[in-house]
Amino acid sequence: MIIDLKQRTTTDWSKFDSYKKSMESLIFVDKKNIKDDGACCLDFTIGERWFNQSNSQWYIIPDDGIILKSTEAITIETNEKLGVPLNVFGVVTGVGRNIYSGGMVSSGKIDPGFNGKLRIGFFNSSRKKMTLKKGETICACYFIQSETSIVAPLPAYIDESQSLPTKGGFKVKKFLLANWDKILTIAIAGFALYVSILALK
Amino acid sequence: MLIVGDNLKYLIKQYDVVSEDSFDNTSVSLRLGKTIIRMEPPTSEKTFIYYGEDIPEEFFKEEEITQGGLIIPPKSCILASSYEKVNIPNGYFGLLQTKGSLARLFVSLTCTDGQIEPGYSGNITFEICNHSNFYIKIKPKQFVGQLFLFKTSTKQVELYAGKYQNATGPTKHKSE
Repeated sequence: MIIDLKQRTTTDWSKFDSYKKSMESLIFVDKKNIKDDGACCLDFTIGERWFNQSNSQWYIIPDDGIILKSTEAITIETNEKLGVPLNVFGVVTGVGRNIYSGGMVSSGKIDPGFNGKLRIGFFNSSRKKMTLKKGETICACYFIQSETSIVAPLPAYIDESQSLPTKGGFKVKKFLLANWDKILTIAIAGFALYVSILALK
Repeated sequence: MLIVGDNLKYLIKQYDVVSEDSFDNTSVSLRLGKTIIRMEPPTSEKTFIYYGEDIPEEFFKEEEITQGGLIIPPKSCILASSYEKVNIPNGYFGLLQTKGSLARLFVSLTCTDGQIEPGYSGNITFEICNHSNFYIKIKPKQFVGQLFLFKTSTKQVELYAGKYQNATGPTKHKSE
């Protein structure tokens, strides 16, 4: 049975922690994004960080957003922090707003006891570039009661976003990798020009 | 779905279903309260009670159970109640059963009225019947019942607000 989020979510960590094994255990979210009464889904928005898969490094998302070219994929951390009770399992799914723009959310699961911000794989399957900005809805999750309770929760979330760079060579490195032959040719030509100028003197 | 184990233990705590020490793995244990009501005809003549109508007050006799215990004569019945106050949360339904050891003496705690609806709050009335040929003695606060909690298919039902709500002891028959 899908959990009724109107009655089973809390922004109070102590309530979440006290009843995490109860049949009426509560899902913790620091910001509730529930569209209407009786809704089954929690919406999650784009947070502060994104993960560059080419160099395995996290970066801060700039205020004007991050541009995702056609067929590019990145991992984005959500703005909302989530705590899942020990007897609840979550499923990550896409949102309607991306259907016509070609944005694809990778399918994901949230284990019982999860505590932290979600990391969402996002793929631009369209032929156009997309801009993803902080605060935009990126995915939705629904939750199911499990028959078993896990014994201990997963490790706590550690926020490392303070020490991360804003720009991350996502474009520069990719440009260098894609155009190294042209760059090399230009560099040799430039060097030859420099030598020629020196010879003329 | 029957609620058991940690799911039940933490549900009791979360909704103050009953005192936490009443948790018993698959059910809630209930003790015998201190007050009973005996229902006896005032004369030896044939006495009628009409279902759906008020019962004359003189038929009832309220007593406090002494430290010596409650004595239930053979083939007799009394109204008693749980020592504990019970709160049934929305989304749950309670079913009362006699403790196995008491049932084996041919004493039943309910006359098939063991259901407790979502939203009920108060002490639970026991319709104790001694089906045996012996005098049965039960001490005050002895464990006599087990309350099982089941999850309902939805919480969108009207919560109980009937005539037996907020009982503080055994409740007599009330006409409609």
